[in-house]
Amino acid sequence: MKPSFRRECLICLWISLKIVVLILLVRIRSTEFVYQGF
Amino acid sequence: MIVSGPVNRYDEHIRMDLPPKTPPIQPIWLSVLNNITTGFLYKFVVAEYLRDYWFGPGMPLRSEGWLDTAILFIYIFFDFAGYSRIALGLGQALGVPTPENFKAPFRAASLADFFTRWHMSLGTFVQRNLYTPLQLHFVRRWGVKRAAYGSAIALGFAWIFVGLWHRISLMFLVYGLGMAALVWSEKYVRDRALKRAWARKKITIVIARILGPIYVFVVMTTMIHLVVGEIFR
Repeated sequence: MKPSFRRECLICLWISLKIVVLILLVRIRSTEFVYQGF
Repeated sequence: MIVSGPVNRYDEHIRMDLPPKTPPIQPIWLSVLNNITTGFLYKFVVAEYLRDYWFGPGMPLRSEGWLDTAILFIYIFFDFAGYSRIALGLGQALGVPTPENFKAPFRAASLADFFTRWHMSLGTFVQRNLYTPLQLHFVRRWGVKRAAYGSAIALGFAWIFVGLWHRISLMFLVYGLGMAALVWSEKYVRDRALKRAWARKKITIVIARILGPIYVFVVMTTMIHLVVGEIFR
C-alpha cells in the first residue's frame, strides 16, 4: 500500500479514538473493581 | 501453564543489527502506536468486557458447557492477539523484529488455514524445525512413493509437540493426536474432492467460504472443550 497523507490521518484518528475509549473505560472500571488478570 | 508467544526465530532476531532493506510504508511511530493501542483495545476492552459479561464481573474463567468454551475461545483470541500485538508494537519501537502472531483466524475456512492465522509464530516454528525436517527424513528413508505415509507421521509428531507444548498431560497428548487426525482427514477429503468438477465450481467455493469458518469454529471449540479442564487446573 502506498503511503499517503490521507491514510496517515485516518490511522492517527483511529489511534486517538482507541486512546479515548481506553481512558474512558479505565476510568469507569477503576470505580467498579480491580482487574484480576487471566 | 500456557507457554505464550510470539515465538521468534534466531535468524529473524539477529536481523535487528542489520539496516532495513526497504523504508517503512508508514512512519514507524504510527505503526507502533497503532499496534499498541489495538493490542490494549483487544485485551483490556474487548476480552475483559466479554469476560465480565459472560462469566460475571471479577469471576474466574471457567467452562461448564460447550457454549462457555465457545465464549472462552473468543476471549482467548482477543486476550492472546491483544498482548501479541502489544509485543509487536514494543518490538517495533525498540528495533527488535517481532513476528506477527494472528491474522484474522476466525475467517479461516479450514483447520489447516486456521493454523496459518492463529499463533502463527508457533506454527512457523514447528513447521520449520519439526514437520519439514521429519518429512524430508522419511522421504529420504522410504522413498518418494511412500511420501504420503512420511507426511502423515511427521504431521502426527508435529501435532503431538504442539499439544504437549501447552502442558505435558494425557489430555493434551489426545488433543495433539486428535488435531493431527483432523488436519490429515481434512487434507485427504479436500484432495479427493478437488478432483471432481463440482468442487471447482464458483458456487461451491462461495459456500465453502461461508460454511468453512463455522466448521472451523465448531471443531476448534470442541477440541478446546476436551482440554478446558487442563487449562484451568
